[in-house]
Order: sequence, then C-alpha cells, then structure tokens
Amino acid sequence: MSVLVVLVALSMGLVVFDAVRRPGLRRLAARNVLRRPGEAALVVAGSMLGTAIICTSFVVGDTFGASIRNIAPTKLGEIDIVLEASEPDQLLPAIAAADLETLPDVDGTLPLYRLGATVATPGDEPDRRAKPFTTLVEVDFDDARAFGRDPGATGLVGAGPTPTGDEVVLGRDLAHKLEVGVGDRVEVHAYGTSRALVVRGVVERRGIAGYDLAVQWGGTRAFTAFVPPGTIDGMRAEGQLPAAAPPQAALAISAEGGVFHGGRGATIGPRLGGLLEERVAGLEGINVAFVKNDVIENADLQASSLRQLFGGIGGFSVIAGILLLVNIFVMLAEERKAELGVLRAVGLKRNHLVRTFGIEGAMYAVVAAVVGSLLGVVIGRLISVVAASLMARGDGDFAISMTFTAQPSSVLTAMLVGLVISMVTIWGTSLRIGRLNIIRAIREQADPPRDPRSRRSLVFGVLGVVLGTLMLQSGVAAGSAPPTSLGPAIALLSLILLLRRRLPERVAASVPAALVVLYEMTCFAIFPDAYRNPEIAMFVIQGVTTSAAAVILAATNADLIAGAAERVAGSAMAARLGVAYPLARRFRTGLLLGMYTLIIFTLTFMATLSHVFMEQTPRVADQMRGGFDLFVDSTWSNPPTAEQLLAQDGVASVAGLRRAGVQFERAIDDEPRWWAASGFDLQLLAGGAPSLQSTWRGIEHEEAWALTAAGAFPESEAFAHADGTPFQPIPAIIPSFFLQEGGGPPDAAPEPGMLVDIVDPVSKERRTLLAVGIVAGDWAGNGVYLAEPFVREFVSPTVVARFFVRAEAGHDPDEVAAALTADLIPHGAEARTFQEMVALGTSTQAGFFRLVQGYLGLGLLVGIAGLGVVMVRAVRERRREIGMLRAMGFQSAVVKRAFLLEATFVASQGIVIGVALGLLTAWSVMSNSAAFSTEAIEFSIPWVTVGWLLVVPLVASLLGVLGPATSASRVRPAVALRIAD
Amino acid sequence: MTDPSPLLVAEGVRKTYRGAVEVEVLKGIDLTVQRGELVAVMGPSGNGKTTMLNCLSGLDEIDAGSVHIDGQDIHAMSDARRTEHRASRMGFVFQSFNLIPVFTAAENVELPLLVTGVKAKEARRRSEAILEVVGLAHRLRNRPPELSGGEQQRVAIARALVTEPAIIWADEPTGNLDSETAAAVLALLKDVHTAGQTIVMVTHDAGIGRAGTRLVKVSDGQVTYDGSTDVLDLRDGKPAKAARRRRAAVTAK
Repeated sequence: MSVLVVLVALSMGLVVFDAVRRPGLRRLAARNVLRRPGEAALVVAGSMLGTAIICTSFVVGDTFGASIRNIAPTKLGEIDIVLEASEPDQLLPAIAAADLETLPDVDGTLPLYRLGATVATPGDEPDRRAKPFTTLVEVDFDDARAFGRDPGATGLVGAGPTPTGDEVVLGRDLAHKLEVGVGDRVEVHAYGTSRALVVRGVVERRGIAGYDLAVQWGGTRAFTAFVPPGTIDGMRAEGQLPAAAPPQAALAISAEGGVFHGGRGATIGPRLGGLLEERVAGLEGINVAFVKNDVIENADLQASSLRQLFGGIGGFSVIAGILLLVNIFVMLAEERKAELGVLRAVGLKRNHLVRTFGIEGAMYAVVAAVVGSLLGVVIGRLISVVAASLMARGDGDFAISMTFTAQPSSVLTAMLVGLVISMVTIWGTSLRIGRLNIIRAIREQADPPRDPRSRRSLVFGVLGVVLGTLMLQSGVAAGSAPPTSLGPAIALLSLILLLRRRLPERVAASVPAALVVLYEMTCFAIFPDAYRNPEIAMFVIQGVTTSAAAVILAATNADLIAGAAERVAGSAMAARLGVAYPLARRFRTGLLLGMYTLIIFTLTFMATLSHVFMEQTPRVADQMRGGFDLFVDSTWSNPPTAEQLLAQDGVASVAGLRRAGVQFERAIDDEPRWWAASGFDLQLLAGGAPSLQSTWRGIEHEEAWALTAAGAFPESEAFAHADGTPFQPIPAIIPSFFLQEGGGPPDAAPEPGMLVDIVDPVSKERRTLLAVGIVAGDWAGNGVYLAEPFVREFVSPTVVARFFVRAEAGHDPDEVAAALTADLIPHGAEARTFQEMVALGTSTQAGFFRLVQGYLGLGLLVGIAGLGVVMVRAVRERRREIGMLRAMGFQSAVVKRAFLLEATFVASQGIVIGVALGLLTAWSVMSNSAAFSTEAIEFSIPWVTVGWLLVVPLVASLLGVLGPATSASRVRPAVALRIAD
Repeated sequence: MTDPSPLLVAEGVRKTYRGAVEVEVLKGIDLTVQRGELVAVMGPSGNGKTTMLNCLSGLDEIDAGSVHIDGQDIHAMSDARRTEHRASRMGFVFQSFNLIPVFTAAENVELPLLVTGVKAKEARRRSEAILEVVGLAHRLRNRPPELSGGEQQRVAIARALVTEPAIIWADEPTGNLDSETAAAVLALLKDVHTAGQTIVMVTHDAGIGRAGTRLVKVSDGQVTYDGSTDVLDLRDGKPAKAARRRRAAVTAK
C-alpha cells in the first residue's frame, strides 16, 4: 500500500501543484473537460472499466477469504481445544491429570459424548433417506449454553431442554439432507441396533451443533443429531458388536477470548493446548485436538489459495483493462493533436502543454478511479451471488456459505492502482504529445515513421536482450518458472529492435515473435525443473507473453490477411473500409487485439482445463477400480461385514479397507499433518490392482501393491539414512495429492521412493514409510495404502468399514449399488460405482470452473465495452471522413457495415488467436508440466465450448458496436462537413 | 448534341438552422445552372454560400422550395435514392480536401467508382489515369498525410472527376492553399471546365471568382447578383484599378 501511495504522490503531485499554483493551466484543462461533456464521459467510462475489473478481483478475493474463514467461528463457536479419548473410560483420568482448575485462560469446559452413526427416515416410509456418518451427540443443553462467553455461539440458544425419551434435535444440515422437520420420525442405527426418535427441534450449524466427527477432514457442513443422554451406551450394550468403533468421550474447552475474540485469543488457544498436552502426556488413548486452529489454518490456506487463483486469473482482465486505458488516452491525444499544435503555436511551452494534458487526464483518472472501484464492488457483489449458489451446491460435506465482503483497504487499493495506471498512461501519452511537431500537428499530418536505426532502439534492444538472458539464467538456476518464461520473451521481443536495423520489418518482427510463441509452448520440456511447481503468476506471465508475441505476429502480417480478405470481398466497399483503418493504425489495433486475445486466451484455457477434468471421469474410474465395480463406505459404529456384503444379491467378491486418520510428517514439514491411511490385504489385488501413476524403481504395478500388502521389504533390501544409520521402512502406496491442501498444483508432488513418517496421534510413535507407488486421483479419500495388519496394530482402534465390491457378471453395477445402499441403511452403507464417485467429486470442480469462467467473462465484458467505447470515439474522430463518404454517394448502410466489419476484423483476429493460443497452451501445460502430473490427464479439445467461444464474443462485440455503427450511419454529410470546414 | 435543358433549377429554396437561436440562412434562393457553366458563388462570410451549396447538392435538407437536377427533384427523393443520385451525377471538392487518410491516392480516387458499381480492376485503371491527368502519376501509392496540400487537393479534384459527373460542387477549393498552388489548382479546374464540365464553385476570393463564366452573389441568404464575372472588375460602377491596368497592358500590346 505504501508503495502505491508513493506512486500516487509521484503521479499526482505535479498535477495538484499545477492545479493550485497555475490557474492558467488549470483553466485550460478544465475548459477541455467542460466543453465536451460527452467526450469526457466516454474517456471516464473506458478508464473506469479497467479500475472496476481490478476492484472486482480484490473484492472476490475478500469474499472467498471471509467466507472460508467464517467456517471456523460458525462451525465451532466457542470450542477451541478438545481433549479426546479413544475409549470413554480414558477421559476421566485425563481430566484429572489436566487439573483444569489450575489451567490459565480457560473460559469454559463441556463434556461431550459422541458416536458416528446412521440416521435415516423410518423404514416403513417409501423413498427412504439416510445419512451415514452422522455424529450422535449427548450433551447437557444447559451446560452447553453456558459454555464459553457467548451463548449465541453454542448453537443451542432456543433449543429447549436436553432431549429425553424418544426426542432428538437435529442439526440443520442433517434435517435438510433427510428432508425432515419438527415432529417427523427418524431412526438412528448403531452397533447393529436402532432407535426410533421424533424430531423435537432443528438447530443451526454453529458451535456444538457444528462440531461433528468429520471436522478434521475439512468438511464445511456438519451432520449432527442430539440424542437423549444414555442413548449411545444403551445401543452399544444392546447391539453387542465388540469390533465396532467405541463412542468418543471428549471435553471441549473454550479458551478465554476465543480465537476470534480479540487479538489475544489467537495466541491463547495454542498456548493452552500446549500446556494441556504436557499435563496429559503419557496417558493412553488421549489426544489434544487444536480444532479451532486446525480449521482456521485450513480455511486460511484455502482462502489464500483462492485469492491467489482469482488474483492471478483476474490479472489477465486487469492487463486487458490497462490496454483499454492506454488505447483511450492515445486516441484522446491523437484527436487533440491539431488543437495541441495550435496551443504550441500560440506560445504554450512544451512542458506546459504536457502539464495541461496531465491535469485534464488526472480529472478523468480521479473520477474513473472512484466510480470504477465502486462499480467493481457492485460487480464483485454480483459474482458473490452467483458463487453463493454454486458453492452451496457442493457435494456431500463440503459447501461454502458465501458472505459478501469488500474490505475498505481492498477497494482503496484498487482505486489507487487504477489511478496510478491511468496517470502513468496519461503522463506517457502527454510526454509523447509534448514532442509533437507543431506544423504536422496543425496540418494533422502523420508523424514520419521512426528510424529503425536510431540509437535509442539500439540501446533498448541491447538492454532488453541482456536483461532477458539474465532473467532466463537466474530463473533456470533458481528453478523458478516466472523468470524462465519471461526472460526469453523479453530477449526475443527486444531482438526485434535490433533486427529491424538490418532486415525488413516483416521478417524482423515475425521471426522473434513466432519464436516466443514456440518457446512458451515448449519451455516445460526444455527446463522441466523450473516448471516443477509453477505458481499462478507463471500462467499469467506465460499467457501475457504468448499473447503479446502472437499479436505482434498478427499485426505485422495483418496486411496479408486483409489482402486475402480484399481479394474475396473485391470491390465491397464496407469490407475495404472495415480493414483499412485497423491496418493503418497498427498500434491502436494492436492494443485492441491484445485485449481480445488475452481475454479469449484465458477463457479458452480455463474451458479446456475444465473439459479435460470432466472428461477424465471414466478413465479415472477405470484406474481406481482395479478388478472391482463398486465402492462401499459405511459407519464405523455399525459397519457391514464382508460376509454380509457377499450375501447380497449380485455381489461377487469383496475386499475390505481398514481406514483411519493418522498423522504424517515429511522432511519438509514443520509438524505432523493429518491424512487418511487405509489398510488392505491381498483380496484387493484379486481381480487386478488399481492403476498406479508411477512406481519405485519402475517395478510392476502388481509388484508394488503386493509389496505394500506384505507390509515389509524383503530382508535383502538394506536402507540407510544419509548419515549411514540403517532403517527398515514400511512400503506404502501414496496418493498424488498427498498432504496437499487448498487446491492448486501440489507444493511438493510425491514421487516414488519418497520417505515419510507416520505418527500415531495418540502414542506419538512413528515409523518411516517408503512410497513404492503413486496412485493418481484418490477420489475415495482412502489416503495412503498400507498393509492391513500394520494399520490394525499401529492405529487402533479402527474397523473395516470400506469395501471394494465386484458385481457378479450379468448384474448392472449401478443397480447393485442402489440395492446395497438401500438394504444396508442400518450399517450406514453408501455404495457407488467408481464412475459415480468420480463424477460426484468432479461436480464441485465443474462448479468451480464455471465460477472462474464466469469471473473471466467479466474480462470479456471489459473487452466488448472497450471495443464499444473505442468505436464511439472512432465515429467522432472520423466524422468528417464519414461526411465525405456520404457526400460521395456511400449509402448509410455501407457506413454502418464498414464499422461493424472493422469491429469484426479486430475482434475475430483476437478471438481466433486467443482460442488457438488457449488450446495450444492448455495442451502444452497438460502434456509437459509437472503441475498436472498428479492426475492421469489426457488432453482433448472442448469443441462445443470452442464453438461458443468463437461465436458468442464476436456476436456480443458486434452488438456492442451496433450503437456507434448506427450513429456513424446517421451522420448527416452537410453537418459533418460543415463542422469540419 | 448538347442537351439544351438546364442542368439545375432551384426555386424558392429556404433553410433555417434551428438551435438555441433560429437562423434563417437561405431566404428563397432561385438559381438555374446551364450545362457547361462554371458558376462562381461569392459573398461575405456567414451569408449562406456553403449552405446554398449543401442544399442545392442535396447534402443538406431544405425547409421549402425545390431543387431539380436533370429534371429530377432531388429533395423529393428518399435518402438512399438521393445518395445514389449524388454518387452517379455529382462530384465534390472541399476546402480541406477530405480525403480518407488510410487510403492511398489511387484508392481515394477509385472510391466513387466502386460505389457506383464499377469493377475493382476498371476502377483502379480509371483512377490511375485521372491521377495522371492531374499530374500525380508518381503519387499513386502515397497516403494523404504524405502529400502536400496542393497534391491533396488535386487528388480531391481527381476524385470528383473520375465518375464524369454532371456537376462538380467546389467549396472554397483553394482556401487552404498558397497562391501559387491555388493558381495551379484553379488552372486545373478551368481545364476541366473547358472540357465541358459543369462546376459550381463557392469562393470568397475575387481572383478565383474571375475564373467563372458566371457570377452569383449571395448576401443575407438571397441571390443579390447573377450575371457576368466582369462585375468583379468594377469598383463603384467603374473598372477597378487592377482591371484598368490589365486593359491598359492589353491596349499597349
């Protein structure tokens, strides 16, 4: 921000000084603004679009950030730390050891008794609905409301007394899922038994009602049901399923101030937790969970990742906005050329001319920055409404409730950025104008072409080549993608300045520009290390450099395209006029073309990415399934057995998974992080193992699975740490997105042979794993695959609650899945085909892609509006020429068509280049970048979307230009010529 | 055989500009132009010369009266028909040339031909030929900003001539030119007229006006004089000093 303030001060300082101390200059500038209010409004309108897009990008970032961060307080309320016991009777000794009375900064404690179970609508109802993995909670409502300082944050205000008898109070998400309300009957299934209960109330997802057993998996929804005290133990005693997971006894602790209540709270939680950990250390089965901090950290990570993504993608639109700004001020300057020439002729000094133009531009810039940033807030609001409906539809446990947020600092920053960009453009054009040749300006003659052999072009050319080469060198040395992409582009584009000295313009510009495009398409393969973990900025840089090079290529050779068009059009006057202006004003055309290319490039790139991800569903499903057809997940408190599954109609074979949440720690991590692990046995490999992306030492997939199932490497394999200490790792199959949080490319993509420690969260015992295979696309969330006995012994207690199921020949897997889910409701079984599971997972991605594309559509709006503004100005600029054409006998329809064809010529070039580059870049990135090596991706072109992208922007552009084109056709020749003469 | 009917007949043409203040610019113009005439329209600034040219050529609407060209009432035509008529029957030359800056000289000149449906190749041939006539054969590929003022006006005249129009309207064709260039342009117009072209030329310069075969003076929106250009040589009913000198020189020879 301080840099921005300095830049604003630098760019506005002289303007303010002149406006105050030089009344003559001020009056001259103000008169220009006031005497042409229409012109002034157009300049402001064009300029504010750029600022609006910048502001929108910031506001969307704020909204996502706040919405995700909001998850923590709404879900957890006053719960900061939780003392968890693996077995219920382990909690009391832990509470005693914790000596809570003497713990500082404790605001309240609350005992909770919880169990993962299935809640369903009654079995006698048609169209039965069920929610496995619901958290049953037993808690005293009065105690709960007194927990912490804010009763409202507990979620139970107004929930009445603690449920008794056959009452149950449901969380909002569960009630919504089951489509039940107060007075409806539900059934609770656990431990092989069930209870029929009546819904007494529904509470919001907040505090105790928001704290479910899945909180550590990052779900944003919470499926909770408050049952009468004694229900869980009663069912456990009645059901007699000793293998099933026991209930969880826990003590929720609220730290003074809470994490969100004042600055102190943020540090108290972890400190208090640390103290608690010390006191209960050594007690079996006890874990101190820093739930609030974990949720906040996760939220912050996701928010920052989304902000980065939107900021990066928004960067394209911002650059498009900048190009529009430059175009508008260049047009303004050219239009005023004669007038400025006269002012110089009557004695206005060069620097006064520059400063007058500066004051005038600053007036436009200030209004545009203020109005543009406010418009950005409005557009951001619209996006958040669309995003809200998309994000609320997230699958299963993940959905974000969007809270529109526009931080004043963001709006101010956008305003200042817009102002600085405008002022830099204004000063640039003013200085250029200041150098005008008085006679040529008065006569409105074009400036002679610049000497390609000037000393200035030599200096800039050499500097650019040197700078670009140094950037490339530093980028490759540091393994950083942005300079590796940008450096060669700068060097090659600067080379144009040097080549022009000796070679014809077409060759001098076309060859380096084509080389830039070629390099950007192949850089991943040339310097793979630099592109291993690319940042969003790299994609922006690559997009901008490729688009710039392609635009230079197109602009340099536009006469060839136009020549071909003219040969086709023959004497069609509208076509000749339509291409003549863009060809004659290549700089301005280049700016417009660049704007379109960038926007369409980004849209195509994202559309292709989205298409490829969606298209991978059947392939990924095939890779996941191995020799099986279905995947069954079930509730830990009452999972079906393999035998029960085999007894179902249509089931041929079953392989169970013992899944648990454990902690892992890599060498690059500061502390252990939660991830899933699943134990499997040889049954999983019976019909063919799931595919692997890569394997350790290139061993066969089956061998890697078999080695992992065995739980140990052959004794002949000797392993030693760098210091020579021998160790015996456990073989493991690791998912490609292992320990990846917040979306985007992985920060450290796992590779075969990597070592990682697995840490028992309770005992803190650790063992070292060695990745013998990397599995792509872990859509089931099975996490790290390990030998079943190892998981059973290392992470206890845990149950076999997940199954790979093969349908019998002749049975439709979808029908078998539906039957399994319906028949095994008491077990909380959810059976899905692998394809359905992947499709469900990708539906959230699809929604997200749509949102991003919608956001990018804003850029398109800027492009279309920009083209409209430029055309309105073109009509004014060419008024006299239009008048002459009409005098010569050109029909008004020809004039209108000429403007529409001019827009078509520019927009269609931009669209075609953008689509082609977008497809090429997407192909290149997916084929070569390590960022996409984590998924089994096969490139394919989204033909339908490409068709839309070719047609819709063009039609929209033509509609945008229809107004100015019509106004051009209505120019009355006598009026236009009278004004001129 | 030359058509004996007048080329242009304007009767009672009135024109008022309506804005914050209503200004009646033409107050009933009656004018007949015969084929082959070079009519010089003169008068003080702001008295309606250019407006008269615009109204008589159909570039601007009129409030009352009629303008017949070749017997056709151009103000009774639709805009499209009148535009078509202009393309085929009229040429225009303006003070500020009004060339299309993004086209070359040849392209500028061929525009009116292309509008009237002449094939591109033929249009280019005729455009180059007429540019050669006006002495610009060496400037065919140059764009207007690369030409001098005189050259630009010669391109404009070539453009006006290329369709072989019935009438050329010239509004201060030498107004932006130095005296030497103006003389060259005037000579060109006179040559064109000598070849049979009808020209109506608005000018405020008596020297240019003398080139006409007929003088029409417009003052306060009305035609106040319509007759010989000799009147330009009279001052207070007598030949002006310059004219006396010219006559003396001729007598001496």
